[in-house]
Amino acid sequence: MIIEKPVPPIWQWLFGGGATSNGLQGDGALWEFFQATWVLGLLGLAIGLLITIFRYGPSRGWQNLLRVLAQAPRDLLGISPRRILGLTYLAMREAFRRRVWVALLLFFALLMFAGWNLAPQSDQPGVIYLNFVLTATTFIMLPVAIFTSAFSLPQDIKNHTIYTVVTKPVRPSEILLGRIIGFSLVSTLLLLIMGVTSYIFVARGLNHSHALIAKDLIRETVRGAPVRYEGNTTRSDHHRHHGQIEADEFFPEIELQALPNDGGITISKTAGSATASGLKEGDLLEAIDGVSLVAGKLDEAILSLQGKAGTKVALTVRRGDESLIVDVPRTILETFTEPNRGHKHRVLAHHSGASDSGKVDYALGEPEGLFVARVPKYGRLRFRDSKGDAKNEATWEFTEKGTNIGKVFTYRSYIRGNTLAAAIWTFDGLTPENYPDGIDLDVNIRVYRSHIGKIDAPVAGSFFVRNPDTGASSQERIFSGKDFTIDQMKIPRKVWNTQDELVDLFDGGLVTEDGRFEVWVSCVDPGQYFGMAEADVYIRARDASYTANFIKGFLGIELQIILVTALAVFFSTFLSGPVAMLISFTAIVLGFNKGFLTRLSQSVLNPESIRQMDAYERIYGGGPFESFYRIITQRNLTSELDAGMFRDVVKNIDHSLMYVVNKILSLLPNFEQFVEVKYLSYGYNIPADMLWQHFFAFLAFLFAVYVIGYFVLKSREMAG
Amino acid sequence: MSEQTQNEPAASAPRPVIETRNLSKVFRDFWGRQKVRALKALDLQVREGEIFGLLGPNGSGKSTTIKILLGLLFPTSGEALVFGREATDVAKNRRIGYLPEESYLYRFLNANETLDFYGRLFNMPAKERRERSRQLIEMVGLASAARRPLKEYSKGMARRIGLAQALINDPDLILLDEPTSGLDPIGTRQMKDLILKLKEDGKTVVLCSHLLADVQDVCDRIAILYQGELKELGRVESLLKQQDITQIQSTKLSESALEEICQVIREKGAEVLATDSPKTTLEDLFLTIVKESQSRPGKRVYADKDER
Repeated sequence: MIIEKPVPPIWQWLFGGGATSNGLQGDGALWEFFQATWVLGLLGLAIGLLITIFRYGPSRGWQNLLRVLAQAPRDLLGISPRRILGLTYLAMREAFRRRVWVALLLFFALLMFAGWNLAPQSDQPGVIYLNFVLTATTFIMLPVAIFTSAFSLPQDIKNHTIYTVVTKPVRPSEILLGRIIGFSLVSTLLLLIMGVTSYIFVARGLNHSHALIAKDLIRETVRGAPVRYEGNTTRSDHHRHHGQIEADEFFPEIELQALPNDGGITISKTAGSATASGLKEGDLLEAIDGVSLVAGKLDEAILSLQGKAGTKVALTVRRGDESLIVDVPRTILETFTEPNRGHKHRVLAHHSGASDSGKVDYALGEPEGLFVARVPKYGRLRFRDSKGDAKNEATWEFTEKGTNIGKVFTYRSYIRGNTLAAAIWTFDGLTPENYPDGIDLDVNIRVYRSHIGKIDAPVAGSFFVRNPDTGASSQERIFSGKDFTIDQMKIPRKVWNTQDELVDLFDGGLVTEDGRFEVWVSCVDPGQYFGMAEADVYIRARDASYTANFIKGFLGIELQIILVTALAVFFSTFLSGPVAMLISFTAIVLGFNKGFLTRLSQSVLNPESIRQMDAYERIYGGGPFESFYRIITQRNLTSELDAGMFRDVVKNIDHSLMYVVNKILSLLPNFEQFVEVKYLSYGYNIPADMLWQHFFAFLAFLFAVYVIGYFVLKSREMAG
Repeated sequence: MSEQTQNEPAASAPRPVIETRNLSKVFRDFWGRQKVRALKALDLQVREGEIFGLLGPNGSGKSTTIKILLGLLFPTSGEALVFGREATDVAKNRRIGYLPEESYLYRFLNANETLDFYGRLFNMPAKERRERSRQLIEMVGLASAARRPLKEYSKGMARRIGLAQALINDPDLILLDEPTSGLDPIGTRQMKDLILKLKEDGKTVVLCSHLLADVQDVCDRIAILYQGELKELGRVESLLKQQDITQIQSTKLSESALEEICQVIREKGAEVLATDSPKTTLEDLFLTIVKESQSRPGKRVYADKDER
């Protein structure tokens, strides 16, 4: 997944400060909000005054404006919950009368047909399934939200039903809020039903199982004794997995615990077949296969539990005063198939008796890894160039970028194979308490081949860990870099350092005392390149709840739908139903392209700072007037215009225009920004900071709609 | 009455509930060009506790005046004050009830839901809303149809529920736009009785109608508008009184006695314009027949007076 901008902590986003990658948003969102409110407020006052003067003449116009302004604070703040509830209930009744539930039928019908042919051959079925349900939900709900909310108020005005409402002590602000809340609640209800259905659809659609059949397994022997069985699983859901089973790695399904003060060994947990055999948690283990245990030797006890597939082990246990002998079957623990299509399966206990050859059939568990919510901990990325030169010798500082291989999309930088070039990630906040078993790294590499070589073969890379203060580093490990896959690498607690000593990751000096370390990745194959971006290598701190992530994803959609509802209600305060609907659709389209418009306005307003940014970010050719001038004079986008008064005038007009556009853009909803869906479908935990960010943006937008909508409704004659 | 007392209201004189000063309304098109001058410098005062009628032909500015008073339209110039507040101030609506010309209600709600909804808009607590809805539905005679959606109502029923919603807040000022339109004579009579009852309760009622008989029956004062201008204003009795004509009513007067009286009148220098038996109104006749029919069902013996 591409994450172009890291999600800043919410306070930094709100109040500014902290380094940002492009230096454009240093002020903080709250400041931007106040600026936009200021600009829009002044603009609104000016337009309002002009209209009222045009309609009522100068003295009456001023009088009207002052009266509306004087009543505004009381109307905007003194709203009554009971009145809003009444209007909300009315809006909901109206929505149901408009048969919004048809959207559900449409959604169910889509799911029914989608189930037949949704990505049977895909490598990432989870992504496709989730993308499908999330996109279907969004694109069904957006029009529904617009249809219900854009027609309501104009219809009331047309039918004059509004007469009986506004002649009650109802404030225009309450009419707005009641509608927005009512329609949003209906959308929420629909979304909830769609969400639950989607969850079941995805879970059931992707759920499948395989079996490892004895006849498909190949036996690997050492000196005649079988050590390993391997082969492919049965085919299910259009794919198979490769599986490997160690011949002797079979244990009873129990967990042992040594009691303190040589109090013996107790069975702390039992499961499946062990429970079925009659073992209970708390039983004191006395002997294994008739051999008494040595007190305190837990490791030895575990080793003697180990055995071959299909065999049983006799455990002598003491339960209270009686001593029992229980025969417990040995099964496989912690054995997985190899991953395929983004998931793997746990190999469960055998389900038929062992044959003479020692081969047995195995049942496999549910797919694992399809429904994950990884919580990545990102580091900071810098590069060492091919010659290994530092940008600053004294501080051992390297460049921020690697080689450009000529792609327009410069999100990733590349390092050349078999040179000193390296990508260096610095992570911080690492403590032995947080990572007691070592550190899990997810490495997501893009490969650029300057010659084809063996196209199927992965390109080899190497990585090692280094203490940024002392320079102490671990020995290099080789890995195979494959495009579009996430390699999971584990840095264990015990690692070999460059002095050939097995040291502890934390105590052995590879991590600084304040918890920082570097991961150096380089490409080994000469002539090939690895592409890297900051978000490509991360520490997989933990996995969050998938269900919670699913809910967060739908919350993202919910925010979008409420925004659209608010927008449509706002437009319906001064436009007829069909026009309000069309404009709302246009606003959504603009909202989805807000990124482009923002870049355009930034390219005009801050050409110097944008020049330092990537080619991908910059938009050439100036604002609308300059572009038009270029079109009629047939100049290309990048050629410099001749200096002169005309150029200055054109540039100044564009500049002022883009200043206003930029401020207005700050208050337009950015649907592009609502990328919760992307996080969810690619299996990443949706960061709480991002959700907060969107929530605040959402609030700011609602505020704008509320205030402007109020003034429009207040200054509108409901009759005539 | 001296000049001074005419201008200064007496201490006991009712306070004005509605006051318009120099009120004008011009309707313009999108480009700001004048379309219609609906009201021209209207000066009106409606006092507390009276029934005030606004009369005029179609397009005379009655509805425009009411809509300005309700804040549905904004004045182009002049002032419109209700309870001393500007008409655009929503706070004044707490004491106002309004029955629009047609019952503009939400047709998918039933009578109970409708009154509950409007009760909420007055910020009334649930218990009070329920109690008030029940009373009003009973009062307008819709108890048996309270659970039917309004789209199934006849015009008369819709009018009644419209009236109920106008009274939900027990208003001090009730504005009724064509209150009797769409009602049968019984409903009309009930409506008129109700208006009189509201007056008894100390409410102020403003109604606009072009059914002049209805206005005459209930109004204390009227204003007659024509093309947006106030043409006449005053108490109904004094406006309708023909100062130089005297009417004598009597029972069991013989032909000769009548002739004698006429003779006396002529001798005194006056002129006898007409002698006739007064007629009852059609409304009274209709209501009498309906009342009789209710107490004595069955075929009614009627006399064709023309034949006789």
